[in-house]
Amino acid sequence: MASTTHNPAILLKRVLCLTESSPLILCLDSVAQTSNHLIDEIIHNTKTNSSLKVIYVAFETLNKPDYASHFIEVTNTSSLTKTMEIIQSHLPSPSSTTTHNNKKILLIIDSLNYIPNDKLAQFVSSIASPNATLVATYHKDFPEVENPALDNYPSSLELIQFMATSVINIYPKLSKSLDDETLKYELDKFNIPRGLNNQTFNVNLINRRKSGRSITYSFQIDSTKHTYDLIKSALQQDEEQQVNETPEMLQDLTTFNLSTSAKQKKAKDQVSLPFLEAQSLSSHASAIVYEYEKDDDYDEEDPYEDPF
Amino acid sequence: MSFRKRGEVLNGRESTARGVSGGNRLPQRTPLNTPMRGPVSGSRQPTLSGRMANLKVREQLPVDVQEQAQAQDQDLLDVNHPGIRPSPVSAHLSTSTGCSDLDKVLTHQGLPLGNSILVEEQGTTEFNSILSRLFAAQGVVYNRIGGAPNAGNTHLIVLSLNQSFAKELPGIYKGSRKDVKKSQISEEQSKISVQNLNEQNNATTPQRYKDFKIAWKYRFHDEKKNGQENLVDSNENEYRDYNHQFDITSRMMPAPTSSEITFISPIQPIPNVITQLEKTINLHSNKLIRIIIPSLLHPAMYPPKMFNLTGIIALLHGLRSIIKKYGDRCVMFGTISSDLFGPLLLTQLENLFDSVVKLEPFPQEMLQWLEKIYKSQPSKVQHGLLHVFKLPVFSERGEMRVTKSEWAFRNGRKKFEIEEWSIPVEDTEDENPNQKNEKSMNRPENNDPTGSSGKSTTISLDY
Amino acid sequence: MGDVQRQDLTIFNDQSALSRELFNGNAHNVILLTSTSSTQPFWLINALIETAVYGSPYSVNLSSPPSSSQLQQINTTASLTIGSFVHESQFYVNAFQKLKINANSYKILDFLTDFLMNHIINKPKLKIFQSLLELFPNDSTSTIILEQPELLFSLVDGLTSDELNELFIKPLAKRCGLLIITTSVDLYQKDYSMTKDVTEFMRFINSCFHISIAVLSLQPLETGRAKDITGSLKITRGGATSNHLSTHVVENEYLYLNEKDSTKLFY
Repeated sequence: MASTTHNPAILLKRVLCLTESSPLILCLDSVAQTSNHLIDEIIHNTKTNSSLKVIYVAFETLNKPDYASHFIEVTNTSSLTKTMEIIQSHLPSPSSTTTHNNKKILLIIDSLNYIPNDKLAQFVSSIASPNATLVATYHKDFPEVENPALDNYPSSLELIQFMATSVINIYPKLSKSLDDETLKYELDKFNIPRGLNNQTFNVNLINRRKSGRSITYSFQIDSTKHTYDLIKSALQQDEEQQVNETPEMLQDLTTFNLSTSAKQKKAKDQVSLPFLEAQSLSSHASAIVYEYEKDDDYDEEDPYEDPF
Repeated sequence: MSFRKRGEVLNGRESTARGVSGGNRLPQRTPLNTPMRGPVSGSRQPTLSGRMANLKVREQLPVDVQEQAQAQDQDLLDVNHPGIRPSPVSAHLSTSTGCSDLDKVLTHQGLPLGNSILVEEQGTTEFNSILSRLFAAQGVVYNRIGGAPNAGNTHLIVLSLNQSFAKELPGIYKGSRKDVKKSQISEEQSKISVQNLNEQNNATTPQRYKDFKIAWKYRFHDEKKNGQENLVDSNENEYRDYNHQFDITSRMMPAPTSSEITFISPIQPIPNVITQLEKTINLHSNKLIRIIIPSLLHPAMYPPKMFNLTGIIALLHGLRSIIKKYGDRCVMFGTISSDLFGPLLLTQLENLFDSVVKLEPFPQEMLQWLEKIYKSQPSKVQHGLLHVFKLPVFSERGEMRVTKSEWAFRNGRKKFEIEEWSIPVEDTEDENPNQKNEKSMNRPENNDPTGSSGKSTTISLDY
Repeated sequence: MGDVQRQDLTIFNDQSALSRELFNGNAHNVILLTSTSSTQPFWLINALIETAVYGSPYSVNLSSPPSSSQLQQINTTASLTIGSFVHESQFYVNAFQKLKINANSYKILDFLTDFLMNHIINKPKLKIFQSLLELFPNDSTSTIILEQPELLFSLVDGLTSDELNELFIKPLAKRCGLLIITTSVDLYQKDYSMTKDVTEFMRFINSCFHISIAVLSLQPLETGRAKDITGSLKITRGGATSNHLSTHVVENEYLYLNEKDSTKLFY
């Protein structure tokens, strides 16, 4: 099982650091827990990367965040062409070959809910760029205006979930006095209970791999301490109890030290395994990458030495 | 409290009314001001000290300004208007809804000027139409007290296509046959004193006054029976033309004419409705204006597009604007069958009315059960519940005045009664009405609605 | 309720009802105030206006208005504008006289009286909102209180929530330091189903939530009417980040009693 061979928190960390190749990170939030703290967490994780340019596209945010180098306010959602042009002007053109040395761009969109359903797909694809990561929020409890002319077209939520490479579904960490059902009941009445929109919250991460596989984990994020704890489903917990090996089991079996110290374990958990790195390779999964090293004895004239 | 004696109030009011309304016309004031409300609250509440300050300024004004102010006073209501009395619980002037029990439920002994009420009704019954006819009839009666109908003191505006509404108004209740005879005798005996009371010397009024006294007596009786603090008593004589009792089986004779009622079609373009309404109000300057919207959004009358928010809600926004603009002499009464509408339209409708009550008629089984219990006193069978959602003035201020299932209503020939609701005890023995009453009085929430009016009265006294 | 400890109205962690930082001109802030027909917000609007003018909500918990010597306008240059779609201007003038708020310190925009006739009829949407916006002062240290803007759905033909936001709410927020939007949540207390109109109403209140740093909610008690309690005032975080402020919203819930024209807060 994959979860036993690596630490899922690494994957989340990589997504939030934007090291994981994921051009469209979708944050699904709600009145109960908005994406603010998650966006802050992304900013916290990427602030060491000085070459990152943050562009904030605001449909509802009124004030320019400190971290944003550009703040694009959308003032007319019914005609988005102008907005798209402005955004594109900040992005490196995909055709130009000189983009490789360019800065990486983080494009934050505070809410896709305001984009009409029939323009959403076009909007997202038009601003997608190989050097830009798009982090978009969508309020999942925001009712969508129905378009009677597009009866069979998918809803905005379905569309955007389909297009996203990572989906982070955000939900609140509920206090003991509040259960999901009560929360839903109160929110339906627009009676917002206290204790929501906390700095500690839960997320469900769906990461779509290049292989076509998608991985799903739940975490609890504490944005004050920047810690991510895996939330195990009841099933996983059961399994673990059956097969779990404790350090004690490994004691005194042999003269070798089979156990890992806490420090070692931590170090081990920090390692990004190669298959994670593989995702960042350019789109051709079958390409062979040959890098010359200094000891390589490569004779250009020898036809048999062509590695390709 | 100054309104205990009418003479006192009038003296005080007459002088301050002139003065303060003059003050209200100072340049920085908007014409929106409610001069009638002003003086009374001024004399009652220290809170309006600003106004009192204006009063002083007013005294120093040059004569021509004073004259001007007095000229403007002419479109104000006569302070002696029979259909206006101060609310016992607030600083507002109120006018009766034509149903004394509804007046009581509203706690102001009526509907405060510049306010509106919506009566919703569940189901397909038409109790609300009785209330709207009572409201209209009461207005016509006021108008006829003042003197000739053409020069009267009150005007009705009905937003409806149904012109026959005017012919369906109930006449004043003349008592049982026995009472009618008695009153004829006593009328003869007391003719002189009645004439003294009636300054207008209208030949038809003495009879009405007599009837009216009987009506008040009934009310006395009821209130004492209910053990209620009869704060109204001391005012009985001062405001005896305020509230009348109607016999819904009779017709008002003569039927009101176009000089008393103006019909305006509510289904014209909204600006037309508003313009016509405002024109009518201005035409009847210095009269009390009672606007009635019977069967709001009745599908037979209103076209489907009126059910849009931009249809009916926009119209009501315009109406609310008018009522507040002429808040010193204008009230509005609307009725609606609530079953036809979704929660969005209803909440938007209710939002624009100052007070909202809802009639919930009992289903057949409940009525049969009540009839069985009250078989020896069939007149005690209630016809449904009355819920209060909003009360004028108080709800707007932020007080929580929702009372659900605390009132029950009963429609009879001579009265639309509203009383505290208590589930009657099924008893095989003959019921003792007194015992029953005690039971209902002991219910904790019963202390609330009636108690509040009494309590609030002491409040205004505290001021 | 004389024996119950009265509580001060505080919304921010600097012990203030409205932090002074909201008016420093550096940012635009929105607070959403939701109410019901049985717990109407008039007293709270008054308290917030007092706070904006005098720095503290004097009328809350006091049985009599404070003496005029107590009332020192904290910022004489900052303006306060009230735009109401349900109340005529006299309604607020009377209230402010009672609160002894200097008549020069506020401006009332009456969007009730003749509003339909003067501002709406025969005008295109864009024009309507343009002319409305121009009535508000453009001053990023000022306060604007907007009462029941959702009524515009009923007044302007074919208005959508997104248009209302773009053409009115957001530009209005940009004209001031603090925009307080009051709106009714009566609809959501009922058993509603999604219709076209309900969708627009819900989108509107949701987008108001997401631009607000705080939500003040007035609700009646679940148990219904009580003699000594009118309802509850709940303060919760809104959907907008308050990272640009050094203070933050403290979540809290008060019970309150509104009677005889005065309001008391307690826990």
